Amino acid sequence: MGENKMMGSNNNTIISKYIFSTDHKVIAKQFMALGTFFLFFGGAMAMLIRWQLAYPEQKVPWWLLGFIFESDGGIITPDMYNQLFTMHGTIMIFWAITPLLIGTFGNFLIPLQIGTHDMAFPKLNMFSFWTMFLASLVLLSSYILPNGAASGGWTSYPPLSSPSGGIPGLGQTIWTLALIIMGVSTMMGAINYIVTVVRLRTPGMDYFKMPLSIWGLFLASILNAVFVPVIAAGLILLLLDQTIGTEFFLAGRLASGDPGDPLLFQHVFWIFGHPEVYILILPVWGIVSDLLSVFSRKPAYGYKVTAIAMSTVVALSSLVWGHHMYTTGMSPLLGKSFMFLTLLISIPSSMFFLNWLGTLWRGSIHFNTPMLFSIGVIWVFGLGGLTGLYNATVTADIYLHDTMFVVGHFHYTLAASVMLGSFAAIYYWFPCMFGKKLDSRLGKIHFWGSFISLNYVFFNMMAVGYAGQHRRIYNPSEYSFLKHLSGMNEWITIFAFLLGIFQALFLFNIVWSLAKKEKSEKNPWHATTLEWTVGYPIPHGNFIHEPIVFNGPHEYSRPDIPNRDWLGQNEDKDDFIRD
Amino acid sequence: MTNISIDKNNQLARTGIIMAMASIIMLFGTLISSFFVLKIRLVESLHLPENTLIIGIINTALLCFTSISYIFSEKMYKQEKFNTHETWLFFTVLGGYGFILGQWLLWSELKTLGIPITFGQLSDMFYVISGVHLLHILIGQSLLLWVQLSRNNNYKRIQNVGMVWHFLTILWVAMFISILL
Repeated sequence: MGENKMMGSNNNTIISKYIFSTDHKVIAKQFMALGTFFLFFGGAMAMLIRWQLAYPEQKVPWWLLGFIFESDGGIITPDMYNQLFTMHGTIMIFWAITPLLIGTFGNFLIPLQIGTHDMAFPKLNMFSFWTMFLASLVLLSSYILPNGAASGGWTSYPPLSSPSGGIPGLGQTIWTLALIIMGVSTMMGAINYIVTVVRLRTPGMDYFKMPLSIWGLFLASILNAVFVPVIAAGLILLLLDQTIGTEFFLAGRLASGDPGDPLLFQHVFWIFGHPEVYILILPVWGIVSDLLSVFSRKPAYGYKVTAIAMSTVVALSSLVWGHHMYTTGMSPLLGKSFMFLTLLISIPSSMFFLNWLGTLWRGSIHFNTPMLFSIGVIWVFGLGGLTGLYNATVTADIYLHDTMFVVGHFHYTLAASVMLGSFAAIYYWFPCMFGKKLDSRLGKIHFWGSFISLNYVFFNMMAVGYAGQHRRIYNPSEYSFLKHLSGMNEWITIFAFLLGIFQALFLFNIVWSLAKKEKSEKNPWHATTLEWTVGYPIPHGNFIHEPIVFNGPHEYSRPDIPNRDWLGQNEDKDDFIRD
Repeated sequence: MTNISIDKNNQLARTGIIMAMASIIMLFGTLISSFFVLKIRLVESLHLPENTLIIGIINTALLCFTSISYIFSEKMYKQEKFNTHETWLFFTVLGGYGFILGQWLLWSELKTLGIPITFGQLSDMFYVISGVHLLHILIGQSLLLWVQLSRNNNYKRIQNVGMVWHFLTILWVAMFISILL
């Protein structure tokens, strides 16, 4: 058994230990702080969007930060509304979910669960976080510009996102620059994760002995490494259009010389954009697969099938971008091809979805807070996935395109699934990260409050979309065919506010639990994976002795193990039986 | 640092470089594809003026030479002929500077001949692709300098840096040919 060198000796100062640390666990917490800040920042913007849709052009109340809009008579102007939904989408996808899930749990879990001392390139890891931090500052700086932040939607299609085509000011340019910097950070992280998983697995940790959380993070990293450069290329061209006057994406009367191609940007955007959906959801699939097993005290049903199905989704996800562009005048044959490929994704997705149900079937289910959130993911991902079939089908999508139906659908898959999955992960690994358990009672209130309110919000978004409400409309009450939806819009907003209040409860739970003196036990969930073999605080370097893996990650309720319903990955079954 | 940890670090670096190469291929693949989309849309090709074309060809030849000289340098290191290794490495670094200078000359010449950036989609795309490639060359050149100045080199490290440099050469040759066709 090899011995790992503990790496704590160099971390003497506060700056090297907590700020410019190369320890993957500290970097994970840094990503967590950044992601949580932006989650609430982006969430506040969602509340303002909902205020405008429910109470169009009415004064924003003080408790909803109404003072921000004082110079505009206290109301949200159309320009401000455009900025709100643009920055909400951008921030939630790239600055909240990405750091919270991939930044935090990728960093925290990968070295610990595969049994290594740190990431393959610890300095690159630190650099990745600070590049992300720089991107955050650049993005936020757009708020102090004369014309405000970007307002071309999170997709920022040209010519709308170009100064000569649509939006004045520098907001859109800063948005592009921030995304390029963020992309550099993401690629550094992705390459680091991949190399760590490929090269630094501890002896015995075969690919098919890795926890499914690692599978999810590994596959998401592959997608990041391959597809972030695609959008980076598009953004470089867009930035040049915005700054020095090239016209790659300008056509018609907007172009002064040879015409460019606005649709080219859409293709480039969605070649990255659709895999991005899977980049965000894959870690959740993995985490949920693992947690269902832990709290059902049963091996994950069809472990290998789940890993292979997730890999198949990764491969297919790169071939389906065109379903976002059915209404761009695409040839019917191409449209049908994209439809077929998109619908094909439902096969591997259904396989691991059924595996989740198989894991629950006849399990000894413990309804702890992480389990509630994991079961919540099954429900919301099921609904999000099923409603995706309508958007994948050309005939239905032509009617539903750019309506609130699409917003409801992707909020089910991205917002609801990813957020519930992130909460499941936070409640589950909190003792490992901070040595304390989050309060279970508050956690359950947080779950039920969030679950009920988010379902009300997102399901009814689909309903108003089906009734014809456009996704980026400023004032629905101005259109006679949407007037009858005002009551529904109001209720969606009320439940959205409730959803926000329950997230404040979550924040309170974190602060309260951290302040408590009571410490968590070493392995509070009786889990089998390697991170629970190291007590809190986990030192820089993680393992004193390199662990050797004998078992898979889901060895629960084995009939041959007496008096205990789990067997750690590094525990030799024979030794255990002899004991 | 022990031989085992040097080997392990080089192995990690090699895997990292391979992944980074995959990302870079996607980046340039997208730029080249965009070039072809615009080319098909405009129903024309990029015609570089003769002078710039000659500079471009000389640059390409120079970059190919640096790759070959690096291969010799690597071979000499393996045979522990360190003086000859350093000479070939010197030529490689010099060639790298030559390529950077050559690209600068190429852009200046294009500008002098009335084809500045923002002139037209295809020439603009040429500026972007060669510019983004040059940024990568600067990183490669820094790695070459690192090998040249480092006192504790090892063969695996030299191989790894060589992999990066040859990759950038192949990338340039492939792009230059595709753009001109």
